[in-house]
Formats: sequence, structure tokens, C-alpha cells
Amino acid sequence: MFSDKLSRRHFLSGVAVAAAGMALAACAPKATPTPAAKPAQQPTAAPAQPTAAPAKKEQVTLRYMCRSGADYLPGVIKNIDEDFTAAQFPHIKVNVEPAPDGWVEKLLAQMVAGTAVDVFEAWGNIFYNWTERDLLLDLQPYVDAKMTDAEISDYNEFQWEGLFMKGKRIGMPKYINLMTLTINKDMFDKYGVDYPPENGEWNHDDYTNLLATLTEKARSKGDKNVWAGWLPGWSWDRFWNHIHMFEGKIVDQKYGKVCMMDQPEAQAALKWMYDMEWTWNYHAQPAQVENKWPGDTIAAGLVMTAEDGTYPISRNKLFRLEKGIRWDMRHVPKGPTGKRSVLGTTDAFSGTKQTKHPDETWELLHFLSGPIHQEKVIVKNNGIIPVLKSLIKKFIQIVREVEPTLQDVRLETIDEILAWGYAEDTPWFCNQVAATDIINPALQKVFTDGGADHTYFIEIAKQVTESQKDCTA
Amino acid sequence: MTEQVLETLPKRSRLTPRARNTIAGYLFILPWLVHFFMLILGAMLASLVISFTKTDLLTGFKWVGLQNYRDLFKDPLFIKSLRVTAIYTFTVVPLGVCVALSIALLLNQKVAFLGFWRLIYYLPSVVSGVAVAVLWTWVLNPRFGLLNVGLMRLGIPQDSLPRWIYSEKWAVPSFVLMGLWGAGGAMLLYLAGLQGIPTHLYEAAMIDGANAWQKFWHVTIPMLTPTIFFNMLMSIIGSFQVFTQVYVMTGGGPNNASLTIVLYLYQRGFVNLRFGYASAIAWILFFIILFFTMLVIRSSSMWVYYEGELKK
Repeated sequence: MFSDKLSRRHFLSGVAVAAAGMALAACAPKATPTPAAKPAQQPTAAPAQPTAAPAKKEQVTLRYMCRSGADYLPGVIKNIDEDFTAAQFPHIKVNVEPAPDGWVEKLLAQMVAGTAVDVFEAWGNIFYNWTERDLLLDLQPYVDAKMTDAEISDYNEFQWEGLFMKGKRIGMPKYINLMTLTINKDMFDKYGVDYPPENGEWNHDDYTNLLATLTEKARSKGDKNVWAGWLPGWSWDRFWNHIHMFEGKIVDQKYGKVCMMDQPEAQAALKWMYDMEWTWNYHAQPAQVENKWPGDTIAAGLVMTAEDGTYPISRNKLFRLEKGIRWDMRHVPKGPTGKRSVLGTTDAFSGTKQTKHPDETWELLHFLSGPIHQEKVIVKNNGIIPVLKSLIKKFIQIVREVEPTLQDVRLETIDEILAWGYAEDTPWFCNQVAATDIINPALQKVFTDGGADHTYFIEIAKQVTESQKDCTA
Repeated sequence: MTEQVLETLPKRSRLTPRARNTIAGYLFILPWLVHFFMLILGAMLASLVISFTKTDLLTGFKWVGLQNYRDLFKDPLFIKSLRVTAIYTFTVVPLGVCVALSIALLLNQKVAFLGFWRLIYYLPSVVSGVAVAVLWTWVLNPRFGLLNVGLMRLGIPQDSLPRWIYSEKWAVPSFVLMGLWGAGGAMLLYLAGLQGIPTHLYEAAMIDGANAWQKFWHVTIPMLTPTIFFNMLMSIIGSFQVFTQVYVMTGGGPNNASLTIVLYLYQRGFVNLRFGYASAIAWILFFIILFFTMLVIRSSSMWVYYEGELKK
């Protein structure tokens, strides 16, 4: 009945069936549990304390999506290989994957597919969105079990508290970016105007007068295409600190539901911002400076001062080394009652909830945020402000060794901002998405288009408050 | 013996040559069919189902029926994006026809360096969307952009110059200008259409005493209507889906003045993770495009002429 010989037809049929079977097998779900099927293993309330001589552990490979650029990535990899894997956790191998363009969407796609990396880097609003969907590993049980009070107190409060969202600790601080007033000293010298005071003893009136003088001097010398200051008021992260400095608020409390931008204090701050840009034009209008980010406007020679973030080494490379600009940083001025406020970012390392190795992920996050990685990579390799208070003075010393021209830049301002404690996390509404959906376009209407003045926010505040009424978080 | 010989011969196929040819044909187009059914039609049907759910694709699906569609028509941002997209489409499509046709008419003349001019006008159509957006950010720069410098040379005072993409009023006109810059693609088709018009029609018109305008209006335009029809259809579909330049240049601002439907869909889906809502937007857009496409196709019997066709 069965022929001993395998005919070509039968052979081809067999191959086709086998191929189809393999294709089906490839399309079938993996045997390992996916987030949709079963939530990733959660850390227990009290993870086991590390012991002095741990038993031989199973080899684990973690995937870390790293946003460092090509110049900095080798330093990150070297540090993790040497100081994390080789020196402390031989059983944990870390594959560092450079974050691709559009990494937010791609990481989301990985999460949907159940193939997300274990560790990634992000900041406030991304964390907020993903915390709402319970996509991030809660680190609080590990913090409770493994970190001492002394260790925790070495972090800055605004960052440590900012990374505790909706009852969960969603990341470990990565670096700090603070807002200061960056100044182009060459332009100040050109127009014969004194620099703002180093000790920060100045207020918004002094600030206005300084910019008025710079504008007047520039115009009197026929320089029409240079502006005294630049504050991109249309940007969420650049406007609210002035309201805080005027003793106003954006929202009544953290995760609150009442928008306070219609209150007199907030209105006074918004009026000051509007006048600086549209009435007096001491601050450039976006169309005048192509809406570039503050650092780029200084590098392009368009503005003499800008409220900008602090990345000392990269800023120095751009300003001093590429453009030959002598630059410096100063404290932003105090508000009318002496209050001062700037954004301190909540950039952090975080773990995805679907990681199959939460304990090892914690160890890596703890290491990345700890003193070794912070000093060797964040400070020496990247030239950015470290998250640990104990490293700040060392940071200033190290970056000046790396870039000697930074001797001219008053980096002590950074130390003072942190010591004086006026850096803050961004305000959060109960329903932040709904609030920013309304506030961001309004900021553009007033500060990009100039089609309305500060009073526009009285109506906007009502709309924002209305948008929060159903929020139950 | 005979049976043994028969067993060694290959079996004759039971399929007719016609059936074999049909199967071969389907096998040849199989890659496209797989692509269409799995990656296009399959995805479309999936998005239709998703549009009836509340989901971020990460934490499950909740069936909400038509709620997303009901919410859409109460959503002021969606209404605004509809208005912005409609203004853009109904400005750029007719203007695009006029501009592309005008260039084609010019390039249909016997002028020096004809090939060079055709290349120059066609070039913008092959430049990628992001590159075009970056280029136009410079052209539209209010302070030193090519456009405003030109307007200043014409005597318009600097204070009165448009602030283009930095202004609510001028944001959409900026994108219309950009859209017209890419008229070279349609121009090429018009040029082909113009060169396909039989000369005997112009000769007959001349014998009848027609002047240049009459020849253009009564010979050129009717003979070009199939090309106009095709170009119009393509540009309606394309302009309703405008995204790249808006995303790169303004992000929909200022104050949502350039918020187009597809950008809003992207924001709701990929920024806010409301994929059910975003899918509902996609389906509304699909039906809007379908409506206008059908309108143009249905109306074509009234205004599109094919050579040799007799109109009653």
C-alpha cells in the first residue's frame, strides 16, 4: 500500500506541510508568560536582604534601553560591565541597547508585544502616563527593604518625591537639570552692562531693568536682531516657576482639581511675562528667534540672556568651544515677596513592570542611581549634574578639570540652588492630560501668537477646573 | 507489465490548463494579497473593532459601543481639527489644480532649457516630507525667511509682515503655500495630458475662428478633464491626510491653529494612549474621504470628457 520510494510529489507535499507547521509554530504565542496573560512577577513586600555570601545564582540577562548619545554610550557600557557585572553581580549581564528615534512609541510597542526592555530612562510626563496604566515596576518595596535613611537623604527632595507617583515609586533619579539664567558675557561687555549679581540678590524689577538697559543699548548701536532675553513661555516647563515666584499656583495641590491661574498672584506673573514679551519686547518673541530652545538662541547670537537648563560640559562645548562665546550662569531673580523657584527635572531610570527579573532590575536601577555610576558616568562621562548631594562639589571640581574654561563659569550656582532648595518638580493636576490639553494651546495663544493677553487665562482656569471634575485618582 | 509502465509515468493533472493558469496567476499575486488582507484589510478591520472599545492596547479592552463616536462630535478639538483640515483641503486642492495646470501650460511651450525647467518644477515632488518641512521652516522664517524678505523688497513694512507658522492666522495659509510648492507631480501629469491632445482639434477650432482663450477653454480644458479628475481625486485623498509637515513644523500649534485630523489622531493614540478613540477618528476620516471621493467620481459624468465620447 505504501511505496518504499519517496516520490518528488510526496517529498514536496511533506516539505510544504512541515513549512506550514513551522510557520504556525513561529506565529503561536510564546510559552513564556506575557503581560497580557499574567502580570509580571511583583516584588514581595520585603525582598530578601542581600547576604554576605550569596548562593550561586542563576545567570540573568537584563536589557537596558539607554538614551546616551554615541559619544557617551561606550562609557556607560564600560562602567556597567566593570563596576556592576564584574565587581558586584557576576550573574547579571546587562545588554545596553541605544534608544532609537521615537523610542517612546517603540517602547510602548514592545510593551504591547510583551518584549519590553527591563530598564529604560524617561521623565515626568511619560512616567505619569505609564503609571496611570500600571506599566512600571514599583520600586518602593525595594527602597523600604534595602535603602538606609542616610542613603535616601542624599537625594534631593524634589526629585525623590517627584518620582513617587500615584502611590508607587516609579524610578530612581538619573541626573538633575536645573533652570538658571544663562548669560552671554561678551554681549554684556559689548554694551557696557554689569552682569546680574552672583549671589542671586536681585528681583524681577531688577531683571526687567537689566533687560530694558540691554535692549536700549543694543538698539542705540543699531543692533536690531538681538534681544535682551528669552523665556519660551509657551512651554509648560518654562512658565510655571514665574507664577510660583509671584506666590501664585497653577493647581491648588499636587494632583489637585482646581486651576489657580485666574488668581491675582498668578495673573500678576502672567502679566509680567506678557509685558516682557509683547508690550516691551525685552524677552524675544518666538518668531524673532525661530522658537529655538534657549541654549540655541544664545549660540546663534540672537539673545543675551536666556532661562535655560544646566548641562555644563555640553553647554561649554557649544558656547565656548564652538562659538567662542564667554558665558556664565546666574540665579533667576526673586519674585515680589522674595520667593524663588525653578524647575528641577525628574529624569530617572525606571523598570518595566513586565520584566521577568524584578530583583535584578532593582539592583541595576540602584547601581545606576548610586555613587559609582553617578560619578564615573553622569559626571565624568556625560558632564551632567549628579543626583546625589554628596557629589555636587566633586562634580564642579571634575567638570572644571575636564573643561578648564569652565573656571570662568559660576557652577557654584548649581550647588546653591540645591542647597537653598528652590528647585521644584512640575505641578501635577489630577487629570494632567486634560489640563495640559487646555493650558498648552492657551500658552501658545498668549506667548507664541500674542493673540491674547494674560487675562485669557481667567477663562482657561475655569475650563481646566471643569475638565478635572470627573477625575477620581 | 502495462500496469507497471503506467505506474512509473507521472500522473496527469486533473486540472485543466485554464485552471492551472488561474492558480499560477493567484500564486504570483499572493505576496500582494497577503500584504493586503493581513496588513491593510486586517488592520482596518481590527481598528474598526478597536474603535468600539476603550483601550490603551496595554491593559485590555472595554467594549463601549458607539461611545467614542458620540464623544468625538462633542470634542471641540476634534471639531477644530475637522475645520482646519477642511480649510486646508478646500484651499490647496483647487489652487493646486490651477497652479499645476498653469505651470504645465507654460512648460508645454517651446522655451529654452525646457528639460531643466521641468526638472526644477518636478523636483519638490520627490523630496521627502520631513526635508520639505525643514526647508519651509527657513522659507517661512518671519525675520529672514525668503518669503518675508521678498515681501519687504516689495515695500511691505516689517511690522506688517505675516509671522507665518508662529501666528494663528497664518499657520494654515503657510501649509497651503507648502502644498502648492509640491505641484510638480500633478504638473507632470497635466503636461502628459496636454501633449496627448490631438492637434487636429486645435486646427478645427482655428478654422472655426477660435481665439487663444476659446481654444484653451473649449479644447484644452475639456480634453484635460480626465487628468484633472485624477489629480483632484488624489489630492483630496492626500490633503485630508496631511500630517508630516504639521507634525514637524508646528505640532498643531499655535493654539491648535494647525491641528489636522491625522495629527489629532496621532496625539490621541500615541501620546494619550487612547487607541479606541484614535481608531474612531480614523474611521470618521475614512468616511469623510470616501464621501468626497464618491462625490467627485459621481459628478465626473457631468464634467469629465473622454475623446470620442458623445455627451447628451
